[in-house]
Amino acid sequence: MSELRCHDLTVVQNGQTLFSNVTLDFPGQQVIGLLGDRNSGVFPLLRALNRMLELDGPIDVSGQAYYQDKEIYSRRTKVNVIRQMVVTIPTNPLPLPGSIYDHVAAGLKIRGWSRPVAMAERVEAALEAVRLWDRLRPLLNQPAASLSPELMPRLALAAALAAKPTHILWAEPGAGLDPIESDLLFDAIRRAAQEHTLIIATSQIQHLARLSDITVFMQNGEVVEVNQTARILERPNERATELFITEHFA
Amino acid sequence: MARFGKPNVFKMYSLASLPLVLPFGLLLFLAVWAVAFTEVWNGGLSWGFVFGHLLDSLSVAVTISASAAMTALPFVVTAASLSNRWFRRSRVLANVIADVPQLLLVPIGALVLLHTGSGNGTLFLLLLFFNGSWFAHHSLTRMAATRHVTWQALQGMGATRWQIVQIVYLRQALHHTLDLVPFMVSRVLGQVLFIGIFAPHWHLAPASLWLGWTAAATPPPLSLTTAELLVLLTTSLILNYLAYRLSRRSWEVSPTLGHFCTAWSEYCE
Repeated sequence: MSELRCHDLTVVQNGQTLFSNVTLDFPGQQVIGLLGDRNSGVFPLLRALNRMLELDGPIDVSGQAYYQDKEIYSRRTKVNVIRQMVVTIPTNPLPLPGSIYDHVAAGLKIRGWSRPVAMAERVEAALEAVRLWDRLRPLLNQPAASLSPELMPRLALAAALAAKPTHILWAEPGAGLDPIESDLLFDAIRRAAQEHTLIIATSQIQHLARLSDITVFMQNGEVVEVNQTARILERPNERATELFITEHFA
Repeated sequence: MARFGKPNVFKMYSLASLPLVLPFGLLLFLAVWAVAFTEVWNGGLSWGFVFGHLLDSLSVAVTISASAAMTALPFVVTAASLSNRWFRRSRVLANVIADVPQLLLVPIGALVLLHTGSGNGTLFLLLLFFNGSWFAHHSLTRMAATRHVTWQALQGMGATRWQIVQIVYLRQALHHTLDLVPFMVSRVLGQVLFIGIFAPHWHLAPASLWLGWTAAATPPPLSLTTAELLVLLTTSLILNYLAYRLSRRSWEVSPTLGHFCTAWSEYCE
C-alpha cells in the first residue's frame, strides 16, 4: 500500500465542492501528474494532500486521506509533521529573506538541524542534485533575492530536497520558464523522482508528457481516469480524457 | 553614447536622508537664530551653548526612540506570528494610533497629566506609545508585502508558526529597528521641541534653549518670538512628515542603497 493515499475524499469550501469521492494511491519514487483544467479539482486536491488547502479558508472534509497509515484529516494529527514529509513547492517560488544558503537550508532548520557542517553537506548535495552547485557555490552568501527568477524553481526544489521529504507537491512546475530553464528543471525533477515521490498538478499536457509516469485525469472535481501517462496520451480509455487531450493539443 | 538607467546614488541618498537632515538643519537654524536675535541671553551667539543643547535634545530623542522601538518590537513580532486576519487587524490598529497627529500629543498628555499628576512619566509613556505605534506601523507594512508568500512557502515545508517567526520575522523586525530608529529620532526630536514649548513644566532640554527656562522659576508667557518659533517648529514637523514620505520613494527605487543605516537590509527585505 502506498505511503500517501486517499479514500473517498470530498472537500467543500465556501459551499462549493472542490472535488468529490477521490480514491487514489500515490506509489513511491514516481512522478504522478494530476491533469485537468482550472475547475477540474486537481489544484485543490494537490493542496489537500498536506492540508495546505485549509490555509485558504475553512473546508469541510469527508472521506479519508492517509500518510504512512496515519489519518491526515484528524484532529490529533500534527499538520506541520505531515507537511515536513509531504512538502509543497509554490508555483512561483519567491526567495526567502536571507542568503541563498539560508533559503536552501530553511527546511533543515525547520526540522531542528543546527550543526553547520551537516547542514552544509545537505545544502551542497541538494544544489548538486538540481545542477546548481557549481553556479551558486561562490554566491551562497549572497541574498536569495539577488538570484534570477528563472533559477528560483530549481532553488526551491533544492530547498525541498535538502530536507529529504518523502513526497513533493508542485502545481504547474516550470510555469513561465524559458525552454532551456524548463529543460533543466524537468531533468532535475526526473532525477529527484528516483528517491522521492513527486505529485504535480498541471493543465499543460506537454509538461505532463515530459514529467509524469502516471497520470490522473480529473474533470469537474471527479477522477475520470488513472493510467500510465503514455497510455493516457496515446490511447485513453475514457472519451472525456480523449476530448481534453485532443482539445489541448489542438 | 547616452547611458540610461544608471542609478543616481546622490539623489537616492539625499532623498533618503531628508527626514534626518531637515529637522536637524531646521533645529540648528532655530538655535542660531534664537541665540543671535531673541536677546534672551545678552551674550549673543555661543556655539558651545547651542551645541550643548542640541546634544541634550538629541540624547533625549535617541533614548525615547530606542525605548519606543524596543517596546513595540514584541507587538510587531507577535502580530507577524498571527493569522492573516489578525495580522491585518494589528496593522490597522498600529496605523490608526500612528496616524494621530503629533499636535495632539500635548492636549492628550495634558488630560492624562490631570489624572495622573506625574509629568515626566506621562510624557515618557505618551511618546513611547505614539512613536512605538509609528514604528510598528512601518515595520508591519513592510512585512505585509511579502508575508503571504513567505508564510505559505514555509508552511508548505512544515514550519510551525514560531519557526516562521524565528526564521523570518525576528530578523526582519530587528532589521526594521536599525532601519527606522534614526528616522524616529528626528520625529521624536520634533515632538520634544514641540512639547518643550507648550509644556515647559515637563522640563525638556530644548525648552531652555528657546526661552531660558533653565533659570526661570516659572515659565514666561508666550511672546511673539515664541509664536514665531512655534510656526517654525510646526513647519519642522510637517517637513519631517513630507520628507519621510518622499524618502520612502527612494527606498522603493533602491532598497539596498536607501537603507543606508544597516548592512542587513539586503538580506532582510
